[in-house]
Amino acid sequence: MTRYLGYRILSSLVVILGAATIIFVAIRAVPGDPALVVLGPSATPEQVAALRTEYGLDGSLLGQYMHFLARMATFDFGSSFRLGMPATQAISQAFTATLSLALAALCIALMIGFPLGILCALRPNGWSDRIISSLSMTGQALPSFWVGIMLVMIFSRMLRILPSGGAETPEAILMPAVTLALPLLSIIVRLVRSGLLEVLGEGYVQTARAKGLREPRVVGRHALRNMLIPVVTVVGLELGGLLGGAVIVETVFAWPGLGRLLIDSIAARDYSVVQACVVVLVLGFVSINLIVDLLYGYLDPRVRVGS
Amino acid sequence: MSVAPAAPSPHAKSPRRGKLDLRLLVPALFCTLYVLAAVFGPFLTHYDPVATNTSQRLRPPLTELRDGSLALFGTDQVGRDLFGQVIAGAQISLTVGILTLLLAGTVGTALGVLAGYRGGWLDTVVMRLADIQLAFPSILLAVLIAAVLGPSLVNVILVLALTRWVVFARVARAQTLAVRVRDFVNASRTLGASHLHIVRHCILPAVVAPILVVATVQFGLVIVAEASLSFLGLGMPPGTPSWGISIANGRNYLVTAWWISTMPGLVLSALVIAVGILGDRLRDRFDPNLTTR
Amino acid sequence: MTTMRLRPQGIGLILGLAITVGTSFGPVLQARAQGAAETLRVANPVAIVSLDPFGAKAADQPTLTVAQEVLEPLVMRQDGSIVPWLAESWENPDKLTWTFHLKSGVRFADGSPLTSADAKASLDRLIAEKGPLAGLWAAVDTIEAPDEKTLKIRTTQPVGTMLSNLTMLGIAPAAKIRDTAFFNAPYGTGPFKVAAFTAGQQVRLVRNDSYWGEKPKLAQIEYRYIPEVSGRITALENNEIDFTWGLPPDQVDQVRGSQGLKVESFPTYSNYYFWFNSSRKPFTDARVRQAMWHAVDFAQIQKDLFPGTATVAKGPIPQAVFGSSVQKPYAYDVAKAKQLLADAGYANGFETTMMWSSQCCTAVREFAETLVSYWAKIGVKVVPQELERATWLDRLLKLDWDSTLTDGNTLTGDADFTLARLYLSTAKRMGYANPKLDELLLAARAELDQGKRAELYAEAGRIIWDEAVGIFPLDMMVHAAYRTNVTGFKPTPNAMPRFDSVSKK
Repeated sequence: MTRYLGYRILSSLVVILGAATIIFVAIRAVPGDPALVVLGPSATPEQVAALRTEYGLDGSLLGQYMHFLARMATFDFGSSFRLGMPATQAISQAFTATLSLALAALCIALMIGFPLGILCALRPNGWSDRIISSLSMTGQALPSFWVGIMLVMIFSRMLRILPSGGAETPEAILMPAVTLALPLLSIIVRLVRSGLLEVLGEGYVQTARAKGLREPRVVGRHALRNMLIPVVTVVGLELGGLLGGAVIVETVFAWPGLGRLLIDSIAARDYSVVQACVVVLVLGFVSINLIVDLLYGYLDPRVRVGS
Repeated sequence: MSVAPAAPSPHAKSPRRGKLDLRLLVPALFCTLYVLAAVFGPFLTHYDPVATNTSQRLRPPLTELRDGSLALFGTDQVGRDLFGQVIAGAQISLTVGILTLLLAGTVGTALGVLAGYRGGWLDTVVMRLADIQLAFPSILLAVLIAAVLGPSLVNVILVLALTRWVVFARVARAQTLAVRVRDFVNASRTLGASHLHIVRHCILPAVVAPILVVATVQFGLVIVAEASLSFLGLGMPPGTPSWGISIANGRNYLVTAWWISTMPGLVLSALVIAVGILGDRLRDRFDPNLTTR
Repeated sequence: MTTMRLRPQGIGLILGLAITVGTSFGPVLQARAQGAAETLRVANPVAIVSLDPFGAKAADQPTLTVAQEVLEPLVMRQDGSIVPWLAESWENPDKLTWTFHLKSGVRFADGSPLTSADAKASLDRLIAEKGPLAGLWAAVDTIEAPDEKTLKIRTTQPVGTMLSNLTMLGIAPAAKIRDTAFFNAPYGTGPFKVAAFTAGQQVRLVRNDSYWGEKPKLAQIEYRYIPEVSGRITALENNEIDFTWGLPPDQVDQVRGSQGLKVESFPTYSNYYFWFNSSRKPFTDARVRQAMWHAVDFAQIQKDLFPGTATVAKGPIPQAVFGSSVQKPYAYDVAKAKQLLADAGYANGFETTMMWSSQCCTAVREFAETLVSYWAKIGVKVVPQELERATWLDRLLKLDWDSTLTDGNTLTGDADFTLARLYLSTAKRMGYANPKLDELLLAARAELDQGKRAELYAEAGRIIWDEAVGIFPLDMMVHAAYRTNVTGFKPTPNAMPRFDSVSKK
């Protein structure tokens, strides 16, 4: 187990280092000059050169890379060109915003997904199962940016009951969270449905029924608890995806999270923030995966992770 | 990085015969409709993406235009016929979808089979690459590459293929790993068959069915990805009738002209749902082990 | 398996907790007590990322919009002419010397008196920072403060734009001018001072109670960044904000129809323009450029795409700018356009590209696509290239383009800022070089007689217009939208709303 853990941590580090390298190279390959973006079209070449020096962009690429890696080890990503504050500070603000959005989406998905999944499993292939299943199929397929725009059109522009973007008021989180929750919701419905169906056929559930327990109690106490593991696993994995996948939703709703910070920073060629964002996102993704993997093996000894 | 791969089955369960499967047939017919519209539609609508007509902009659906034609979906923000635009958009979406999957499918499957069959350092490198790719938000990768290469049809396909090969590689590798150790493969090897022969005659046949299923599922995702990229201004160049661009164009007119964003979105969603149902059904029939647990 | 002892109620509790955390977390600002009569809540369309108007953001409109309430200039432009402000008078002992006499009794918000040393330190820093406005001061030789109330600026050559340039220089206290922390909450001699600032998100100004002039009626101004247009409109309608600006044409009508809201449209120093790269074929030939202009019906475009939000331009710089002029319009004439193309040897048209920045200006994509459509009709195939701003800037300055559509702002309100900055052949902005034009522009810059300067700019404008260095289709209007309980707003053509005269009922 320790060897396996060591191997997993090592390969996670490789993944983080790889992603950091890719983003370092990629963001510099994009045409455009951070200094020029800050100064605007009236800048003279001398002004641009002076600002580049100030940003530490005049050294060799390899030197910059080594500097970046050395600082990354201490979780220091330098200063944002655009915002004039440490990149980590810009990111921590955005990170809380994304985290709250992701959690809200997760709650919505769980609160609606669980009951619907149970409803499906209680009468498999009944009409409610069919309707819910096809709705969840639809929910998963709909392009989130379009769903977002439609929500804005209906609730902000036509009915004018919700703000179309930003995070200034508490209710502003509703539409982005729902948009983000939609695909997750579909996955949860399916997972709960199939997991419950499987468990309901097993012996101890039959026993509980035979004991004369009423159906809600059978489902609630015995069956549901035992299918939580796969749900927790997948939800964990999806949460990692949610953090990164919020880019589009955050753009549509102008949610001040990591996704929008990333897009804005790429547009401004704000190298330090882009690098910090990506490292944080990948770190989050990798850690969640690691934890879920280990947890999975721990909770269910039948499934020891292979290879 | 990966949860244990689902045990693959080399032999796809043969489909039941005789009975008409409506859940397969209906979405398949629906998709065919899109293909027909994409291929023949433009000849009927005579849509010209360059020709604008500002004096007839923002006309609602079913308006009769000055030249006597009917704007079924209304007109857009510069007075172009939205129905023609959406039909032309189908052509773009399908082209991008098919070419991307061909590219990503070929490259991904080849790498996956290679990694699974050879194992060793090659396997490690390919799979670590795949891990990095998966950990990297795919939309970000697309944004970066699109920003470097600039918007064009070819670049969109390249970008999307680059973010999709992993899925194919993983499935192909898992299948290969499972088949590699089976008796008939060992038998061929003992009989002196070359690696190429084994891959072609033993491994590839087992890989094809799940790859096709994956391709169907991915098709919808690729189409949405193209629209999302174009929506962000990083996909197709402006003026191209991509659905994503049309939806983005309508954003500033949600109250004055709701149809500009709504219509292309509906058409896009309907296609993606149909493809989704189709993929689901194919997965159920051909490869029960790939179903969601 | 039995290690998981979660009851359904337990799950509910966790979910409830998570929802609470999710909705009240982080950047979600609690809506402040709404409608406080003395607080003006403003939503700015572009993020305010810095409050330091001396450094890299010296020409940044969002930064200047806030800075102008806090830091005041020596002279101010009001209704087109220069008026004394912190300087009560000035004179030119010779053509190379400017002597300013500062008003007495003016104090900074911290109580310290304004002296000429502060003015000197402010100008010194603006020049030393080499920011985007440093170019305006290239001819400055020495800056002296011989006594507390006198500022003496000597230049290496006569500078006719001195007063216009000074309108852009807010005076900050000399003791703080190099303190970066100061610019997180700067104060000056202005009617307001900064109370709180979060870069990219919000700024809160409070009244400077020791202001030397007429005290503002507002106690506070809160600027909040809402990037989405629809978000700003919704916030305005829901009484979450009182004032916003920068609305695109199509949404102005919606606000106009709304109860309790008022829209004010006013001309600005900004215009749309389309540049040819005159160093690239076929745009090296003036006839080709003129043909492109004749091929487009800009009156129709204005009517359809920009009703009430832009006006057909009469010259290369907007009419509100000092030094503007009225030129002879290019008629929409397809036959003439084709004739000109044929004369230039392009009877069958040609293919070229047009780039623009996706963040450029309202309805830019609509405008660009319409232009492409018009040009197709004279056989010119224009491939549209919508670029990210960073990429666009990069290519623009490298002259790596055929033609570009963009917007321009004559920030100082003086023709020199646009004409001499961009059209001198040494600026190498659009590949056009004309010694006659250079001569006019340099003469105008060195002329201290403002009347003569205006004549020289009119002549320069005629060359730029007639030679079709670019196409100058539309002058922009700016739309400010505010709740009807806001009164006393006076629009300024620099499109940076000021609130010192505003009050709220």
